Amino acid sequence: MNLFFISHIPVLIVVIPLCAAVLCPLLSRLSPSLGKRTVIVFLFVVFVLSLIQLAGIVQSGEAVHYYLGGWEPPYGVEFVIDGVNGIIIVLVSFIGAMTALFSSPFEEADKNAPFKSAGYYSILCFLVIGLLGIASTGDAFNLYVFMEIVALSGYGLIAIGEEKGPIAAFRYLLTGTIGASMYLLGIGFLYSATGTLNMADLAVRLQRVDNLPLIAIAMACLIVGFGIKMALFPLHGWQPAAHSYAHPAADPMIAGVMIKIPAYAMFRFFFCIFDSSLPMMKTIFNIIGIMAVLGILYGSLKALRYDKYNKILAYSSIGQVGYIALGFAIGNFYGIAGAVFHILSHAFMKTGLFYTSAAFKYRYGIHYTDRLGQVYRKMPVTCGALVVLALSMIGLPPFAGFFGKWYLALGAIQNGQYLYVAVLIISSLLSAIYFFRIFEKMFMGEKTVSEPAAPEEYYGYGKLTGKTEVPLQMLIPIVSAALMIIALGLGNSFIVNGILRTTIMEVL
Amino acid sequence: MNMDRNKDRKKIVGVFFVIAVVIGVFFLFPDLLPAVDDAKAPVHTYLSDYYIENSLEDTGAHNMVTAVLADYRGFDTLFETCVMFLAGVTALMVLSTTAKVTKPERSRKERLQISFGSTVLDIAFRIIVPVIVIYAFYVLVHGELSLGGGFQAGALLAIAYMIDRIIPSFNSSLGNLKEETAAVIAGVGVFIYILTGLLPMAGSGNFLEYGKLPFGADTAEQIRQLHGTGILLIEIGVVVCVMATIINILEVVLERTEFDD
Amino acid sequence: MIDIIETFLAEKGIYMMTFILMGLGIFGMVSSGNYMKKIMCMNIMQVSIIFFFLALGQKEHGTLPVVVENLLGADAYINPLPHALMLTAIVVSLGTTGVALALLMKIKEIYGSIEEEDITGKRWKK
Repeated sequence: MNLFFISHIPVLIVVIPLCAAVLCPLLSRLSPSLGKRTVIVFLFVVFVLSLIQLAGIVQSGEAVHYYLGGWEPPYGVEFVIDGVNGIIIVLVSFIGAMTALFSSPFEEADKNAPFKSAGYYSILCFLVIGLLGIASTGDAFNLYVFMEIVALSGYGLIAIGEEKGPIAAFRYLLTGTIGASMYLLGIGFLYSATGTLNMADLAVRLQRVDNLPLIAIAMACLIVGFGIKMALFPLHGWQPAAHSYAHPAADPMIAGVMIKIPAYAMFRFFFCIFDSSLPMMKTIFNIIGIMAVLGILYGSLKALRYDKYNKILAYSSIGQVGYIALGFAIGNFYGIAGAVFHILSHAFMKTGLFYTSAAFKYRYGIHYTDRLGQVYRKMPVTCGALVVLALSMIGLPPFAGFFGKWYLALGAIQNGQYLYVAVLIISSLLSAIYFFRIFEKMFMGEKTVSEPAAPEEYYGYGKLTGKTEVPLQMLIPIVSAALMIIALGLGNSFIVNGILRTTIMEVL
Repeated sequence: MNMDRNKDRKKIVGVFFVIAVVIGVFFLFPDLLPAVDDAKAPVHTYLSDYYIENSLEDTGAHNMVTAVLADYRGFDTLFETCVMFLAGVTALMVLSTTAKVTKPERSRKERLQISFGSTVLDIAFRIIVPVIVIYAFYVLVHGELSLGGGFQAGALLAIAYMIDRIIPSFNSSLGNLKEETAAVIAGVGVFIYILTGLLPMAGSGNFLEYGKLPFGADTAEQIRQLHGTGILLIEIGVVVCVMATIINILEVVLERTEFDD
Repeated sequence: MIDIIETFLAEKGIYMMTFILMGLGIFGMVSSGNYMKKIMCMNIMQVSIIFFFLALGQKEHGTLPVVVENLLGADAYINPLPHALMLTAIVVSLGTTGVALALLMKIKEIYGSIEEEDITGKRWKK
C-alpha cells in the first residue's frame, strides 16, 4: 500500500487537484461552501505529496520517471521529476494552497449564487494544475497544453478582477496567444528535424542535426514564446495592466508564480535540450542577457514613476524576471543556481507583497500608496511582513533576495561579465528607492484612512470577522510568506548544494 | 480622408514586408525544412513508423489518429477536454457578473416569428434533430474504427440541442438546461475521464493504462479489447463535457442578447 | 530556371504560404484597431500553425491513417501524429476564441464599443 502511493505521486500531484477543480461546481450545488473547502483541502494534500516526492529525490539523487498510459517515453507522454523541478513543484503547490486559503474571505459562499465562488475556485485550481503540469512534464507538446490551461485560467482570473480587468485580460489573451503559437511553431521546427516530441529524446536526436538555421529559428521562436509568457523586457506589454487589475485574491498567484514557471521551462529547453556546444549558443545567451539587462533597468526605473501599489509591484516584476533571464545568460553553475534560487525567492516575495496589497484593499480599500499613512498602527502584522518582504526585494543579507543576487554576481564574476554585476548593484539601489518611498509614506505619512461607517461592510470584498486585523485565513498566508523568505535565506546553501547541484551539473 | 489613405498605405507596406521576409528566409536557407511529401524525412521515419505498425496491435483501434489521440497521448486529450470545461466556466464567470438583458415577454405569435423564417423550415429542422442525435451516437461508437470521435459527437449533440432551443415552441422536447447546470454536467464529463484513468491504478497499472483496467484480462486479445473499452469510456466523458460546454456558452450568450429581427 | 522554381515551389511552397499567413495574422493583430478583427487575425495565425503541422505530416503515396482490412506497411499511410496533435491544438484554439468572444461581449457592455480608439482614447498612430 505504501509503495503504491509512492510510485504514483508524480501523476497524483496533478490529478488530485484536477478532481477538485472539475467537481467544484457539482459540490457547491450540494452545499454552498463544500466545493471551495474541497479545493483548499486537496491543494494542501498535494503540498504534502510534493514534499514526500522531493524528499525521495534528494535521498536517492535520481530523477523520477512516470510513464502515463504505460507507454515507453518517445511513444507516450512522460513525467520527469528531478531536483530542479521537484523543488519548483513544492513551491507551486505551497503557494497554490496558501492562495486558495487566502481567497476564502474574498469569495464567501453565497447561497443564492453558489456558482460564483465555485467558478472562481475551479479556475484558480486549474491555474495551479497547469503550473504543476508545466513543471512536471517531460514532453514538449504536453507542455503546450498545460501552458494553455495556465493562460486560459489566467484570462479568467484577470477578467473577473477590478474595473479594467476585462480589457487587461483581452490584451493578455491576444499577446499570450501569439506567445503560445510561437512556442508551438518552435516545437514544430524541432519536430520537423527530429521526428520526436519527448524532451530527453529531443536532446539526443538534436545532436545529430546539422541544420543550424533551423535550430536558430526554433530558438528564436522559443525565446519569443517564453519571453511573452514570462514578460521579458521588450515583450512585457500585457503584464503591468494584467497584474494591477486582476482579482485581488488571485493576483498573488498570477504575479508571483505564473510568470516564473515559463522561466523554468526556458531553462529546460536552453540547457537540457539544446546542445550547449553549438557555436551560436553564445550569441543567443548574449541576446537574452541584453534583454535581461534592459528589462532590469526599465522595470526599476518605471516602478519609480507610479503611486499605485500594484503598478509598482508589477513593474518591479519585469525587473525581477530580468534577473532570472540574466542567470540563464551567464550560463555557468552559479548563474543557473542563482536563477533557479531567484525563481523560488522572488515567487515568495512577490506573492507575499501582493498578499499585503490584497489585505490593504480588503481592510481599507487602499489602492494607492498615498493612503498608506499610519496604517501600521491598525495592521501591524501585515506591515511587518511587508517590511520583511520589501527588504528581501532590495537584497539585504539575512533574507532570500540577497542570496539570489549573490549567486548571480558570483556567476558573472566567474565569467568576467562585470557589466552584469554593475547592473545588479544599480537595480538594487533603484529598488531600495521605490520601496523606501513606500516605507516613508507608511510610517511617516499623515493618517488618511478611517474605519468604515458600517463595521461589517468592507469595500465590497466581504465582511470582517474575528478579532485579528484581517481574517485568519488571510493572515496565515501573509505570515508564512515572510517566514519562508527568512527560511530560504537561512537554508540557501542546502537548497543550492543539496538539491539543485546534482541536476544542474548534469546538464552543464 | 488623408489619414485613412495613410493608414491604408501603411497596411499595404506591412503586408508586402511580411511576404518579402518569408520569401527571403526561404531563399536564403533552402534546406530549412524537409520537402513536402518526402518520405525519408525524420518526421516520417521515427515515431510515425512505430505508430503505424504497432497501433492496431497495441490498442486495437483501426484509426491510428484515434489510437494516438486517445491512447498513446491520452493525457494530452484529458487536458484538452479540461480546456473546454475551463473555457465554459470562464465565459460563464466573465459574463455572469454583468446584468442580464431583460427581455420583453413575447406573445405566441411573436415568438413563432423569430425562428428560421417559415413554418416549413421550422418543421424541417425539427425532423432533423433525432437524425442528428442518432448520427452523433454512431460517430461516438465508430470513432475507434474509422473517422470520428468524442469531440465531433459532442458537437453534434450540442447542435441538436441548439436547433431545439432556437426554434420556439411550447413543448420543447429536450428541455431547457440552465447554464450553471450545464457547467456542472461538463465537470462530471471530465470526471468520467479522470476515473477511467484512475481505475487501472487499482490493477497495478499507471494512470490511463487501459490494458490494466481491473476487468480481468489475460490474453493479448482481451487486453486489446480492454484498450477499446478504455477508449470508449473516455470518449463518453469527452462527449458529455463538450456537449455541456457548448450548451453552457450558448445559454450564457442567449441570456444576454436580444434578437431584434 | 523555371524547373528549379517549380520544384522549389512544389517542395517548399506550402510552408511559404503558411508562414505568410502567420505573418499576416500577427501583422493584422498589431495593426487593426477593431477588437473583433484582432480576434479574427488571431484565428488566422492559429490556423496557419495547424497547416504547418499538417504539411509536415504529408507523405508521398500515403493514404488516410485508417486500417481498412489489412495493415499495408509503414509507407502506405501518412503520419498520424501531427493530426492527433493538431486536433488538440484546434480544441485549444476553440477554447481561446470562446473566452475571447465572452470578454469582447463584456467589453462591449462596459464601454459600449469594441474600437480600440474609443476605449483607450488614443487615435491610431498617424
